[in-house]
Amino acid sequence: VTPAFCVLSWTDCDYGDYSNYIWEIHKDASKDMYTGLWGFYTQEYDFWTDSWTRTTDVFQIPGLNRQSYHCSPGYGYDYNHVADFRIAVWATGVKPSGLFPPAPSYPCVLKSWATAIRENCNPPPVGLDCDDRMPFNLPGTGWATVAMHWVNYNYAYPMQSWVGGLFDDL
Amino acid sequence: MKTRDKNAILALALAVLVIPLVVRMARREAVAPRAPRATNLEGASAKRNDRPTALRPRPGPTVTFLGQTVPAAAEPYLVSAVKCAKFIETEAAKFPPDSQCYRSLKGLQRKLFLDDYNYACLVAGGALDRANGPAALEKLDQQTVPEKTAPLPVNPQAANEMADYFGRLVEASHPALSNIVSVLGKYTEQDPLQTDLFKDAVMYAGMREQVNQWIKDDQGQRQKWLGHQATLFPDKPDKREKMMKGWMQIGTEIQTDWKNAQDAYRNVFAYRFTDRDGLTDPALLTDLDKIIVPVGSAGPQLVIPPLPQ
Repeated sequence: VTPAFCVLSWTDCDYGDYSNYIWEIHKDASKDMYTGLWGFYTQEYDFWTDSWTRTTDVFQIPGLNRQSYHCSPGYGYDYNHVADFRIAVWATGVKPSGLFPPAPSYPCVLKSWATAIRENCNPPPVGLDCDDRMPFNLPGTGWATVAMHWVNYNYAYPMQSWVGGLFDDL
Repeated sequence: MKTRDKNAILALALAVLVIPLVVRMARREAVAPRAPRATNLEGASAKRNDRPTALRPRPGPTVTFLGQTVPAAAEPYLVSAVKCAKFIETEAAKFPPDSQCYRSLKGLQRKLFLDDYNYACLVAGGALDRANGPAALEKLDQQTVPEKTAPLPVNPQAANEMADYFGRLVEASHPALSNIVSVLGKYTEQDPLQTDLFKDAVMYAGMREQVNQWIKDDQGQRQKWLGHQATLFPDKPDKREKMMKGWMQIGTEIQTDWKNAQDAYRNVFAYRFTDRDGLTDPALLTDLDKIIVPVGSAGPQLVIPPLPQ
């Protein structure tokens, strides 16, 4: 069993207040797992007309992080950033063999290199660049969705995945 | 007994045991000489391509279709693939090209066409290459097809591969997939696992449920951000009201776009069930609507076997 994976969904919102000027922008991307096609939505609030616009333009996903960023240094300035993503993992061509084949679900691990996001007003301690391993159970058919552990870390992609223990390495 | 007699009996026993073995091995060598062991990557690749006799390309009549030379046996399957792709084109044309619904339908068109092309490859028994599918899709506009065609016959060779792959999928999957097989059994006498009927039915039910999940997630997210917006503009309630109303309105538009896609999927699969499988009873879709294929119970595995390497 060699699991395959892809980014399943990505969401991002920037919002804040600059001397009573309010802004809010949402970006969402999600993958149709049947056709493999990505869907994109951008929704933006216009302070001056009190209206919202939406577009379906394709955009680049800048990075994979689970972020809850809040920065409020004073002087009427407040900036927030919220982001999240999910990974879909599945196995193709699983054909049980042998007298006593292991039954699903299979214990799996998804591993990525994670770098702390330092620009945060409340940064996490420096030096936290390490790998994050997310254990999960992979069904014999279908797929599992996985959210990595940490918030305010930027995850590297592509990740690694394997069937086995948390402390095994590829 | 003398030692010489003992040795003679021993030699006789050995001969009785060994001679038939040697003869059998010699016969086997004569019938099927062993392939030389692959010693390099090229050899390994050649060995992998050494398919069973049933899948080897067989010479036969060919026709030109989608700009390619294809076996005549695969032509009805390719005609059906083109008909379905053209039907999806007309469905997509009902929506603006920048709408998500239009893009979803174009994605469905590509997925179904390549599935159908791969199915034709299975039928052709190796005389048609799956790698040519995307190039065939590009020639769609140039290809004319008859309006009325007979439902596709079950191809015995493809049927085995399909039934084996989808049978395992049903066995190991969510019970919803077994329920789909039962529902299909009410409408056709053929085994739905032996054609792409089962795959289509799971896709239809699964894509509908996937859209339902997106709508549900969007509604949840919208309520969450609505709570945040309710804290803004403490001294300008009118401005806040407008912002919140607009936020919910834009959600309705997005959800309508998804629901339109759901309706279009229904039309597409109704067309496929009629055109490919001869199943015209609209109750089939109504029955499939009652089955919930949870998000994650199928998806990337819904392909025409064998899986692409």
